Amino acid sequence: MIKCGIDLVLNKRLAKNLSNPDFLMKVFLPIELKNHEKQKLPGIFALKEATMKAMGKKMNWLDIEVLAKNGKKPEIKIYGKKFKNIDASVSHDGAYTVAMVVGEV
Amino acid sequence: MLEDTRNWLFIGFAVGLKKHLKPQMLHHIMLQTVSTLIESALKEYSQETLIIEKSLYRRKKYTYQQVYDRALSICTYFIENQIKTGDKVVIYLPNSSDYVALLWACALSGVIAVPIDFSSNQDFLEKIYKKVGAKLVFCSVFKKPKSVKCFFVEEMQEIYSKYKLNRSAIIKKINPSDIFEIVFTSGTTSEPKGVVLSNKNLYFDVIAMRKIITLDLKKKTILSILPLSHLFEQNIGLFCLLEYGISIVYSQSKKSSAIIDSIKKEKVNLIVSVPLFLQTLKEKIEFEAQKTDKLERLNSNLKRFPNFPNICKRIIFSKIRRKLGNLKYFVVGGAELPLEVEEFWENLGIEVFQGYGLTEASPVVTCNSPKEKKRASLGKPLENIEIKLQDKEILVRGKNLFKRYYEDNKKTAEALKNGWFYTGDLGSINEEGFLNLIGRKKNVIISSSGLNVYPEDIEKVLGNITEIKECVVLGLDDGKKIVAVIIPKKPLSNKKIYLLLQKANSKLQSHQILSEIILWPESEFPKTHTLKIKRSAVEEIIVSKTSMNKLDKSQDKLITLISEICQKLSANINEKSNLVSLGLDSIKRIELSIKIEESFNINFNESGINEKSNVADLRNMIKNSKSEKIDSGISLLNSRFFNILRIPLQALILLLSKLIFRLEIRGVENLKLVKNNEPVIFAANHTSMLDTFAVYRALPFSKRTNTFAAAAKDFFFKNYITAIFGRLIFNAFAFSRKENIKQSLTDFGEIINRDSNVLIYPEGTRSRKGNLLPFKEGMGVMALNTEAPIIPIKINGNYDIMPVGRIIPRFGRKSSIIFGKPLTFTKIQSAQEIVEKIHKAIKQLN
Repeated sequence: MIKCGIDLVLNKRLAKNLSNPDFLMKVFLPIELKNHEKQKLPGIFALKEATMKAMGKKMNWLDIEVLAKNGKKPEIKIYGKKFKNIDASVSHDGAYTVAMVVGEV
Repeated sequence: MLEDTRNWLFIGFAVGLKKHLKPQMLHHIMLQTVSTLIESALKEYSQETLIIEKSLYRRKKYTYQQVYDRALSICTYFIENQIKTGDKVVIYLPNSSDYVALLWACALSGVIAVPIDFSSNQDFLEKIYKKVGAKLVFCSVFKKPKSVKCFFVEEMQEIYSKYKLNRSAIIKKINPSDIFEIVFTSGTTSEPKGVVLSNKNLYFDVIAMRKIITLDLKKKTILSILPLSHLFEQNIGLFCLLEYGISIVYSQSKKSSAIIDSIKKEKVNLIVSVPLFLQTLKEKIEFEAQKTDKLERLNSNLKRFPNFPNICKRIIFSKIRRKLGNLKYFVVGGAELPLEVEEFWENLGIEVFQGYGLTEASPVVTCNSPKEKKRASLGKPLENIEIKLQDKEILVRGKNLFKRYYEDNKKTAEALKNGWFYTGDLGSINEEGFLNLIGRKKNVIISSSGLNVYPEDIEKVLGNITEIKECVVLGLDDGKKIVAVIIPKKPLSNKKIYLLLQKANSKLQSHQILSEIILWPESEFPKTHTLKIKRSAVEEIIVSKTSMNKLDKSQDKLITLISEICQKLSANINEKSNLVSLGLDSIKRIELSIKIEESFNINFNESGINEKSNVADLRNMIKNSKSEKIDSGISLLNSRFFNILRIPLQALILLLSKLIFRLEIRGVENLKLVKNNEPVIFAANHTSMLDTFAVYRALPFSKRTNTFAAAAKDFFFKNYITAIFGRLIFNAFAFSRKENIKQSLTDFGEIINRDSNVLIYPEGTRSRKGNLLPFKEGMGVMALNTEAPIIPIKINGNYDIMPVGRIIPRFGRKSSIIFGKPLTFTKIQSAQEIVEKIHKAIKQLN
């Protein structure tokens, strides 16, 4: 069955937490943090939340990995749970970031 | 140039003389600069560990020499980028090895450091950047200021690898009177004050402090709590104890559970901190005791044995002391330490040394010492520092005093008169010469991170908000809570008060954030005849009121946390309240779970919260997660202790395997290419059960006992025999192929942190046809996240000897194993790309 999920992030609210290492380590994998462009983090965050919404259940943030490459669609990897044929898209404008994820359960 | 050389000869001479001189005499000969402090420690301890940096999965160690080399690289970077002696650079970072290297680089090159607290906001940073005309800001990508020239600490590696070290070309002659740093304290007005400190100032105070801290700290470990932008941390927590060759632990996580964990695991001996930290830690211990109904016993025991020697106390309170590892000393300063807190720790057998200091005095003025110690006092002045009282105000004189406030002659003249520094603190000195603090001339709240918060600053901001007629800002709970008591122009509803709080906080600095706005019940504040508000009278009434309120609400921690995060009145929250309708969205959910972990000291997984959860559900989840045990893949059998068994067993088994097949080994020399003998990850192709035997046979002895084989949990660890066999011989650990990536990451990190290596088969399973299968990305991700170099391994021939499905191997055949060159991935790449690179590297090995 095809499922979709969407999430909207107000960048400012997330930015407030980005200097808190405890927050970062709870949500992002080290490899995602190594992505030097901080601007990408709201996108990654939104994609993770959208993925959870699509799957219909909350899971550990670290079990979802997002590969965000410049100019390409983000790729999502999920560890431990079944969710196939994922397609994701993310968009930024000014203060907001929106992400949409579609996949098959 | 000539002068330079002479100067160096001079120091070289002094160091050479050291053997024949008493240390006291030496300090007169050596140049009184910060770089002297660094280099004399380096001479003695170059190969000792200076810094232990802890992040979630990794623990990295840096020796004195490594940090020094990094500092030299930074010096070269300064030179090549036209940052000269006397130029200023801002350091806007959390504590780390990079921070220390930057400070050292400044000390060596004469570039002036301007440390700014990482919690202060970016406007403050930009203001100071402009004010001092800084050349560069060293900051983190995660807190990136806008209109300043930045260098990201995440890219420091480039400096370290690119700029070569040539000490004699880099090091400048530094005079003791040269400025070392400018430390900004937010003043009583909104204009920040920059305290200009010379090399000599800091040197003098550090040396004086060394004479007092005569503790048994040789090569011991200390834990850093305060930010390095705080002089107290810089002096005692870094420069002073270099003399002992100490190691400093910088923990990224500020959660109290993480701190307690570090204290225990790193065998921390001393902590430099502010009173609030001691208070919080005390409360944590009492909370734990209460849970097991042992609080009363603890309290009565504490009173029963106050005069026993510390060794006895260690045994009496062994249960608590075990949790605190080797902790023996606290050095405390910055605010008043409540006597009960001091007594609590001393009765537990942990010595507390309280001192008094100010940034202007670099910073220590008085301190208790092991020889002369008195409870509830701030100790005696350090050597060659004088104090006296004038109208109760404490005046300080000595070489440790700052030069001036940055570009502020008026304030300098007000504070420094005839060589005496007017501290603005009120004190008393008893007949033995111990200092006590009575109060402050200026109103000041000391925040939990040791920052000074001046209520006047906040009141000024609040005064500009239209709804507020008059206000008083107070620090409650020893500075834990900053509250504003206001008289509004028009009556305000509860909701309006919350909006007002948000509005006010958006205008305040992060260390000034208000936790509550309280309405003053009357139309006027109590005032003196000169119409000044009587602050103490207001505080008295508010304190008595809030303590009553606390009793009413029975101090429910969870509801307080929720109300803080969701910005809802706690009165409106009850057990049935739905969390989502309280406004708990995804970001707040994480914020809340971090707060819960901190307050309840548990590992909390917030993924259980869904749309239907209410407060009672959350309470249940907290209760249940207390018993949640982490299912680590590494067991006791993997410990070094079992090497006693492992070494002979390995030798025997590997010998037996020689009867089955011969092995040709190539490329072992590639292992030597790994820098600093770092732990590595071996990635091999997998066709047969014999592969692990082959790898262990090929590894040099030192690596053999020290390499952990990742084995599939669902296959290998199903029965006890293979599990114990695997753990004992191959140091196998359970690697889950499907669930919980966090656990796998922790396990991998743990192994690498033990300076051990990991062997993984990135294909995830044995190849049925003997060809190289595509790699599982999870394996690659694991490797990447631990940042260890990867060594590709190709095993040929084992497929013929014992493919999948064969129980008895074909005897007498020969196989080969080839080690490739180590692969490191410093540039950012996706896991996919890196996995492909490893795949290619293994494929090409022949």
